[in-house]
Amino acid sequence: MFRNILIISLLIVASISQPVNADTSKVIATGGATTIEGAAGGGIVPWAVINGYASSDQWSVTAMSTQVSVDDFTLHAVGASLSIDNRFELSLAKQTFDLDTMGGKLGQDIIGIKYKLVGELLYSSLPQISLGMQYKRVDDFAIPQAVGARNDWGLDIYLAASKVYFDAIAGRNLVTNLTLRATKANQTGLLGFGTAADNDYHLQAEASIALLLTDNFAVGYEYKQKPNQLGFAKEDDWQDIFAAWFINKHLSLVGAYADLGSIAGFEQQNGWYLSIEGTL
Amino acid sequence: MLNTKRYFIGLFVGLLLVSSGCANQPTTLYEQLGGNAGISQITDDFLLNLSQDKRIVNHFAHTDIDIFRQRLIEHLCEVSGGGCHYEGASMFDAHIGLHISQADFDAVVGHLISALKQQNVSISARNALLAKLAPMYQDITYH
Repeated sequence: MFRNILIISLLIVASISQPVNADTSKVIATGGATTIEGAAGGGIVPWAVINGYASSDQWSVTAMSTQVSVDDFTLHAVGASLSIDNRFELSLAKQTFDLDTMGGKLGQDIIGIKYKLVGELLYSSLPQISLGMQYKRVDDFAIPQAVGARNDWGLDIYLAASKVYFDAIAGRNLVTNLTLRATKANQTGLLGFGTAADNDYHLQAEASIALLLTDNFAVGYEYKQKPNQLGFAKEDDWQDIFAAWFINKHLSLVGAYADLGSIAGFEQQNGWYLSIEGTL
Repeated sequence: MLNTKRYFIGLFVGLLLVSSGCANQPTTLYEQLGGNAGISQITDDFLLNLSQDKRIVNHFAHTDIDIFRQRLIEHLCEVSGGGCHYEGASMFDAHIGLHISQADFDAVVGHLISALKQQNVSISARNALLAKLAPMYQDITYH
């Protein structure tokens, strides 16, 4: 129900685009998409870009709804963000992870902040570099605790570097991103944080590459390294190939094919990712 | 089997010839922008777009548009390898005291992209020009 309301409101926002268009200045697609964790980025990797189209002395809000359907699980994520000055981003996300085959569900809430430290995505030889934090809390600790998680909340800290190379391949612009994340999360936090034996942060690398075939249509690939801490089942890195269509500065769609590896003993979890985002 | 292999080798060599033929066409960025006539039209569309944007038009309140237009055409010609000589001030000196913000710069980039599209400049030529202009951000903004 909440998802439907969100989607309808996104479409309304998109349809009244013209009068608001004059208020934000960033070039189309430079706000990126929104990850399932709520931060601007690709689909699973947060980038150094600040969400939306607000440039200096401007603000922007976004709302997104995403579904990832793999063999035995379905992830729903809804989120919203506020960006100020193309410098600061505050995001909220709610994830629900349906255990389609096993029955039951997991979930978590994520509050994220991101601050641009240095560089400009399009204009500086240095990449744009941002520091981000994500506070995550699981909805119900019963299942994560039963499989060995130590905490029902965790804090991810990441440093992301993003840069656009103009005229890079076949005259097209190339978007590159590298993110280093310190995390204790099991399956990004859906299965809690840490274990009885291991309460250390793990440093993980995440990367994205995307080619803008046109000004507003990109195809790309993402890889997300993840810790493998829980004894009950193996956890794999995630990857996906995606296509992103920035229909205008107020509406974008991302479709992807995702490989989420082994989850809770279910092997080779592959499937489709679909995300809709509205921006003001 | 051998025939199939030959067929693919032939196809590959053919593609190479075709693609190298394309690459050998002597088109500089200046020519891809339409030479002097094309750059003049791009500049006129760009100036029209700027003049209609109330976010930034105030920056041009004290600008002599005729001189500005001529300098812009010279500059785009020089940057794109057209053999012109840009006579104007450096990008840094030309923007001293104008307090150009990132939002101003972003808006101007948007209008330039629109002007290039209006003149049907190819996406590769557009991106090649942006590659040359984008680093000027440092010299143009915030001083």
